[in-house]
Amino acid sequence: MPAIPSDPLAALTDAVRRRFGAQARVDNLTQATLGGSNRTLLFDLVEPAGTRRLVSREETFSDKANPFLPPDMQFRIMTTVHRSGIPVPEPVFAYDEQDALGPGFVTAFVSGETLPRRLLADTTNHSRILAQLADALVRLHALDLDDFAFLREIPESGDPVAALAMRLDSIAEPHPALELGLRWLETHRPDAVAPAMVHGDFRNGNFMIGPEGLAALLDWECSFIGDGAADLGWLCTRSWRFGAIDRHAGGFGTRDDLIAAYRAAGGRAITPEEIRWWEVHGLIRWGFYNGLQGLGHVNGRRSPAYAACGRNAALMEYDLLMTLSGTYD
Amino acid sequence: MRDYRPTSADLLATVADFLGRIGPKLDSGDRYEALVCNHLLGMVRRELEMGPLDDVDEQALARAIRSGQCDDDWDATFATVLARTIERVRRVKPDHLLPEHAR
Repeated sequence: MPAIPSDPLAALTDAVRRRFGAQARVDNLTQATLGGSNRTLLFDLVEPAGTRRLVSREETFSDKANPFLPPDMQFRIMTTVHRSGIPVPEPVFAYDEQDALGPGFVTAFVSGETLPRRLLADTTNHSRILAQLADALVRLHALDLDDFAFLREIPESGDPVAALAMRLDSIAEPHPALELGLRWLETHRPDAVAPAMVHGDFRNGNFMIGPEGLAALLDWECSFIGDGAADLGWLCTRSWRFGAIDRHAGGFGTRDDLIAAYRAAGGRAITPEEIRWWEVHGLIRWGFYNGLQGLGHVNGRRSPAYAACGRNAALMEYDLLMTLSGTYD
Repeated sequence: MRDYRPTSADLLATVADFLGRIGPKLDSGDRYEALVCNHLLGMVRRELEMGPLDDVDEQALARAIRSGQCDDDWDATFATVLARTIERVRRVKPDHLLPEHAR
């Protein structure tokens, strides 16, 4: 675990002066409280030409079981995606070994709302948000894979069932319920499709929504090259409906609404069965993530939330079994 | 008679009450963690009430499922795993269960 600098203001000031000159300075520095496995700092970059609000994200935890992309890959992905015009926070610079911060990177600050329950409370713009999400996905899935060749080597870019089994093995705790899900995936595989650039964490909670709807897609730490239906399935995974269980697509619309919006935006015709396959994949994956956080807790990254995650894996396992039996849709 | 008053369940309830009282006075991050801590105490309270899960070799079962050895016995395997999962959820968060699975 990298040392947290005792004075992030001095470290950030050094980092921006290296890149923007001696007159650059940092103002209004705050640290986001619920940063998950990352440290997130918000600050103003003040230059003679003007002031920009920026966000610094640093990886503060690494472990051999860590399934997340290293920050330098995330930065490269966001740079290419931003250039394509898909809404994503503008990448500004990545930390290097000369910085006292990092590994991590700095992007533009995008204002808006990300909290799922607040987004779902106001239903007036849900159909617009769903259309914008589908449009962003269609454009993402059409990007040239040559620009993401560095993702070809990660396990998730290979066979999705084998990759998930490998992740599950990495936490060294038997989960028969998740194994039932894996076995179901193995025996119910959809037809192979042309590979695409997949966001990988496309779910309610990672969408910055502003007055005009979708302002930015956040969290590019699970991206891979594979079946674009993975993004639609993860969005529909029951854990991300936040109580709106009949509105499969993150609470913004039904599974069929999402399929229609993806098609209307120029995407391929994806079947409900393909999405359901990836929802089963998503429930296993979310169960695994919870087990991973529980492992992190007992390995020393201690917090009440991570402790709860370890036991909470049983909740995803229940949802998975109810889904496999057809009780849940 | 085992130990002196209060019972272990009462000790947990005492901590939970205290967390509930100080929670509203905390900043948002700590308030969230206090809520999570109450959830953790609830798990322990329910485990004390219901007793621990039976000690089962889940490693062997997990391997058998992955290798396909349970494919011909899928429904029975599913029922076994579901029953155990329900026992877990009863301790972790019983209101997550469908009514037919809640005791």
